[in-house]
Amino acid sequence: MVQMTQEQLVEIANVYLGANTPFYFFDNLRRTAAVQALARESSAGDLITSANELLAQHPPYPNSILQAFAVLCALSLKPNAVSADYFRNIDLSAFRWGSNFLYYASQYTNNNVRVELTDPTPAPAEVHQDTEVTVRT
Amino acid sequence: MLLINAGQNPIVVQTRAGNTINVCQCATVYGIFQLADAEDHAKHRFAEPRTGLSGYYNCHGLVFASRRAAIDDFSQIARILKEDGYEVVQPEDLMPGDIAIYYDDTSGEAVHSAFVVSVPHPADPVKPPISVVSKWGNGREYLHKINDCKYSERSTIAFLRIRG
Repeated sequence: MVQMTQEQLVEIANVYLGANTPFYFFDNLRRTAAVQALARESSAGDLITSANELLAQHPPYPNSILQAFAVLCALSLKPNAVSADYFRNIDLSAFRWGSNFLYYASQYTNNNVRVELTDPTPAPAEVHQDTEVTVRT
Repeated sequence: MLLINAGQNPIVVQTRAGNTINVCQCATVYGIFQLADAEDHAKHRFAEPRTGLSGYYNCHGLVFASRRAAIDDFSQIARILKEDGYEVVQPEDLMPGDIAIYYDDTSGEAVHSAFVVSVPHPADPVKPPISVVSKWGNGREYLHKINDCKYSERSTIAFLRIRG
């Protein structure tokens, strides 16, 4: 089973903590260094095996559910027939945003949407002293 | 429980038109999430927390449901804006009490919303940033500058008001 460090777990926990919508959760999870590393260092088969093990735990532990979502997100970064087929057949309806998550994973996998991390450790946000904002009208 | 589907509509929230909005109430998170919360404090040290962690409501639940529940379906936000009579406000006409919605640049989804609490006076030559109060997902409410949050990076902000 794939192993995540505490630092990686905190990173993905931060994404869930700040997520107001399932799209935000999925899209930002995909951009984390943790998920990018999982995708880079694990095969699709290993990710599927890990996801199945994590989701099979009864009762499900929060950290395990988090890791499972991260693993599934990493799998969406490996667009191939195996991933697409897995996403079509797995049931995540027991989990919050589970169905939405699968929809986004399938869309990103099928459309091969790539996410490039320019800096795996982004600098802390600075206060913006000006009032310029990009406004949608 | 965390990340377990708690089901929809534990309470009834409706638009002005009387249509029910899909809402949910989720468990408040602890454990590893408290470490993640500490990271938020470190990254956004000028954002002032107003509350503790809460899964009961999210940003949209703060703005549109009086902190009673979370609204996480972006199609519901579009419905609320239409049926409650929200209209776009230009930045130069902004007033405290208006709302700000952060639309994701890729999907167009409303990924965050906030109440405007302070705007620069037109005659103020310094023009301090716009300040807002918002709920950061399953975390805390914060008082922060409009761009000093995790949602502003890949989003475009719209300001709206109900005029009556």
